[in-house]
Amino acid sequence: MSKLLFAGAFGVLLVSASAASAHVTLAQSDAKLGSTYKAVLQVGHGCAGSPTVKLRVQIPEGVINVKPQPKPGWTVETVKGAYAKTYDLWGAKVSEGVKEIVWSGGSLPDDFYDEFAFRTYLTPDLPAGPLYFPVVQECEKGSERWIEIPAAGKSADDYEQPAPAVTLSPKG
Amino acid sequence: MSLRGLFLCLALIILAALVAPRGASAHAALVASEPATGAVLDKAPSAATLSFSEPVAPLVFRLLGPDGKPADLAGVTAAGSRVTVPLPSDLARGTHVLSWRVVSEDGHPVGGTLVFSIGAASGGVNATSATDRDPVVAAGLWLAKLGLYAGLLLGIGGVFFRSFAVVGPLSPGGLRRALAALLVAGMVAAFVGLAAQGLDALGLPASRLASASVWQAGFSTSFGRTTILAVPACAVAMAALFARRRTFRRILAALAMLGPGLALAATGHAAAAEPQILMRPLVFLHVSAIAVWAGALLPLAVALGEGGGRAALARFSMAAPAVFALLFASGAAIAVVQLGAVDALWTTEYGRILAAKLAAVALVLAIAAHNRFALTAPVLRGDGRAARRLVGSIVAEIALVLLIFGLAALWRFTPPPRALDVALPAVEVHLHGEKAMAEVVVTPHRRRDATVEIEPLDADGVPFRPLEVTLALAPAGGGMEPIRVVATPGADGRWLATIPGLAVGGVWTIRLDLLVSDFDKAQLQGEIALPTP
Repeated sequence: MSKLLFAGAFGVLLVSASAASAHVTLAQSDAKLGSTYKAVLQVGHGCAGSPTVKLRVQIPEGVINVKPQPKPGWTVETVKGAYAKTYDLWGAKVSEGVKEIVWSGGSLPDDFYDEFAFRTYLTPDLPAGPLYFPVVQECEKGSERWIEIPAAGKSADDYEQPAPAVTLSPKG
Repeated sequence: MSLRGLFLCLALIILAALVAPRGASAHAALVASEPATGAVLDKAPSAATLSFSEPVAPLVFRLLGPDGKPADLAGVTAAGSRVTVPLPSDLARGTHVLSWRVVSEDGHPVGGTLVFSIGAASGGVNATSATDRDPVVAAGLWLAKLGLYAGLLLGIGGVFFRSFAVVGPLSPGGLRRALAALLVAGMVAAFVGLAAQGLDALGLPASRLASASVWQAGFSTSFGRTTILAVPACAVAMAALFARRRTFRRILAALAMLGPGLALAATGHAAAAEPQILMRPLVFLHVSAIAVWAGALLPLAVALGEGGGRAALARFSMAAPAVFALLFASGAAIAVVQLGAVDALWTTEYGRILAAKLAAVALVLAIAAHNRFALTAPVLRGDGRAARRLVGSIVAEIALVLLIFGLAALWRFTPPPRALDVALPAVEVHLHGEKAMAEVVVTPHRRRDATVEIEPLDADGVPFRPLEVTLALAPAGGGMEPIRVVATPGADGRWLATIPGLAVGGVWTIRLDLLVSDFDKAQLQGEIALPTP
């Protein structure tokens, strides 16, 4: 009996440990400033077992020329708005564009894995270091918010639901 | 000046003396203390310092610990207006009451108490010392309440009824003597109560009655206020009893009638319950309704017994239903607050007393209904036999009323279920972040989950409404997962949460996640030191 209990407890421990590591992340974890970057959001699980039905990503300031890749079975929409400043894109002045991408209408079971891709241009105005793409994952039941941005001196590992990040380095 | 006039003047002088603000005298007053009164300290202080408004000399210092055992404090030193009281090194956790007494430069002794807690507040001093209370003191407490109820409700109520409802010439004999006796009993009871409360507060036996600090302590309890209100009210009622002119009599009686409600709303468990703004008026209404109704019984019985009183009976039976309705509505509301749950009616001592009281009230109600529907009409028609039966019936009612008073007086010894679930002192913490801030108030309870109130503020300190508020608490030092709770928005912009398991005192880390917008979360972190229940 106690062995069974112990095994059960150990199992719960394993499950909870693996659940905690299965964040929504970016496939390519580093990129150069002033270059095109294909962001691929990796979704490895739903919300506590419930299938994912909607994914929303916020485009951080300084990331322009955003175009989501169409995805069969999902409706892709973008929310556009003004940037905080005007950026230079291959000589053209850009002051507004996509601020948020929404994938909806599909259903990704908890047991399956999928990727949600969009292309971006990382302006050289961005500071080197981590750049965060906050994601809200909505499921049939509940939601998960991958929006935690580590405070100075902390890393994503210190958080339970860190926002997906890409580390930027100067073009060289 | 007639004897009656003299008495009236005396009564007014006593009233004026009692109502005059007590702090107006020029004796030394405590202006500050370390620890401050009500303070909850992490560590036992080695000494307490009291600062007075003028130089003082120390007299008596005693400390009452959470175990309810008082101890004399020696080695007290005074330097000018500053008194240093060394405290024992082995102070227990919980609430301590430092009773101080000094003599000021003008030769007047001044006393007071300083309440502080180490680690956490423990139950009231009365609650802990209740087990080894001197039986004489206990009897004094009970008798004082009973006497006070009789004097205030039957005495003043009787005077009120006599002044307003009894028309025609007043029989000066039996009734006046009976009412006067009740009023005197009420005044005596007020002073007996003061002494008993003082003895009880200091945990002293009845043999220490002569000690001035006992009376001082009695005055500092809520019963002190009751005495200040009850004694003049009885005196004014007495004046009304002996006043010759009807208008004057009625003015005095109406004035005295404020006394019972005010005096009893100033003390007791019910009046002390939250919300105060509701409970004190409820107690006032309840008590006033009892005084109007029960006060009528004695004058009615006497008047009917003497073969008159029919007009008074007609007035009484007209007003009684409304007064009863008020009495029951206010009583029911108080009971709901005090009991908290229905099963408290038989699982707690407080509830059992209430149940007994309700049974007696039901009996009174049955008698009253019988009087009203079976006897009143024949009596009003002039049926002599019915009148005699009504007198007997009213005497039975009075006996039951006294029984009810006796039961209600027992509540002095039983905390209401509400008080068993007392909250420990709330702990406040301000959490500060770049994007937002929050005021957090954690209230641990002795017998249920701690409650948390959160007021989210933006970076400028202006309250705002986040989409979601979640809370994570863990004992500091690591090794444990935090207790996570989602808060629910309250009505006033505060978010509320109950934290199960937050029973262990000590330092906890607290983290607050405020969802500012869909993609933006402010995380605030801090530490909070909780008292041990």
